Amino acid sequence: MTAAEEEWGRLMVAAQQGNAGAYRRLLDELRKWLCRFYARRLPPAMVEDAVQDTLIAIHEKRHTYDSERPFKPWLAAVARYKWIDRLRSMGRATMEELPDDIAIEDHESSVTSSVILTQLMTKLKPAQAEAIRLVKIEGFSVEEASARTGQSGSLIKVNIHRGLARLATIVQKQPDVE
Amino acid sequence: MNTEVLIVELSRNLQPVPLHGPRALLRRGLIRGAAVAMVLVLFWPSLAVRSDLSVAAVTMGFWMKLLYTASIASLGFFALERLSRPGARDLHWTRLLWPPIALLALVTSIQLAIAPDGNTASFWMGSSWFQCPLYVMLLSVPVFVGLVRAMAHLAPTRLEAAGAAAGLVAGATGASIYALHCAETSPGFVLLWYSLGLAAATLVGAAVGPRLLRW
Repeated sequence: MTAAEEEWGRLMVAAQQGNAGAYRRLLDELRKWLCRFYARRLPPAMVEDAVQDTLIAIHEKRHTYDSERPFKPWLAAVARYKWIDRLRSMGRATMEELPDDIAIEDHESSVTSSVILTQLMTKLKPAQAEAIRLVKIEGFSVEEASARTGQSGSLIKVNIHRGLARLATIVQKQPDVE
Repeated sequence: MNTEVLIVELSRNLQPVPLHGPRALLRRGLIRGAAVAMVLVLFWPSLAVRSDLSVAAVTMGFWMKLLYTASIASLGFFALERLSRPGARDLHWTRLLWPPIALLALVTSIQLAIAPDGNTASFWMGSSWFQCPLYVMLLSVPVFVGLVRAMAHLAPTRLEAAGAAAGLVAGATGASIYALHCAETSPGFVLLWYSLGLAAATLVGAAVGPRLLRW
């Protein structure tokens, strides 16, 4: 356990006792950690949302942290739980069309930085992985993805849905990463 | 909303949280559920507390049953409390259950050895084998509800395992309460049918956990 993580544990204990200053410092640090955590696991457009969602979850469940145990596994378990949730909901939510000017900056590196997600996708059937990569990560519409892959539009949707469900299952069965 | 703003909002008006909150919550859920199960055993038409309770209460058979189910309930509660919080390490908590099971199996085999009169059917089946697992299941329902409601305030991250633990605790608590009704005395009966009721409750818990425990 690094010194920083021990410090997080101490800050959380102070927060549990009602110390708002300690809590704010903790959340600021966790935010950075969570950004890195999700940047490797989710498409860039979803990272900010996932971070906020997890911060809220941490807030609502902060009484479940046991001060006698290390903080990091607690944090990682919450983050991972919310990640699985996200993977599932990626299938349900229809992606909003983004205005063209948003994705320009740093697009390439953000896309390639979802390393863990990309690795996981190698465990899917190629057609599923392709559909998810095009529509959910690179932001093509279903029609465009259909034209590029030769899968019909409804097949693209089915493959996304099944692939994401499968991803969530794979992740759940894996031992904690990080 | 911007994340900085969110953090400021979350840390404003921060309330202290109670120490040992999770355990207390679970305990309360357990006690409430057990109280309902107790009422059920008292007033369910075909149940009622056994009439010879005062006599039975000094026999080995009665305490053996209660010790078996209550020890499993408390071991299960230990696992449940861990599994209701994020980051419970993979403690192979099914291993926790082996001591009571092994102990009862030992008692069973000793009894079998020293009582060679050979009525093995009644040793294993008693006279109420068909109803035992069913009543155990019935009485575990209110306990399970109590535990699940408590867990809604907690944060299980492995929902199947947490559901199984809740099912096991509910089953073992239900079985302890059923022991007030059940007049079987054979350790073989308890080992077989009580365990079956517990296993069924655990499986049901594991099956419904992912649905009921999401947060």
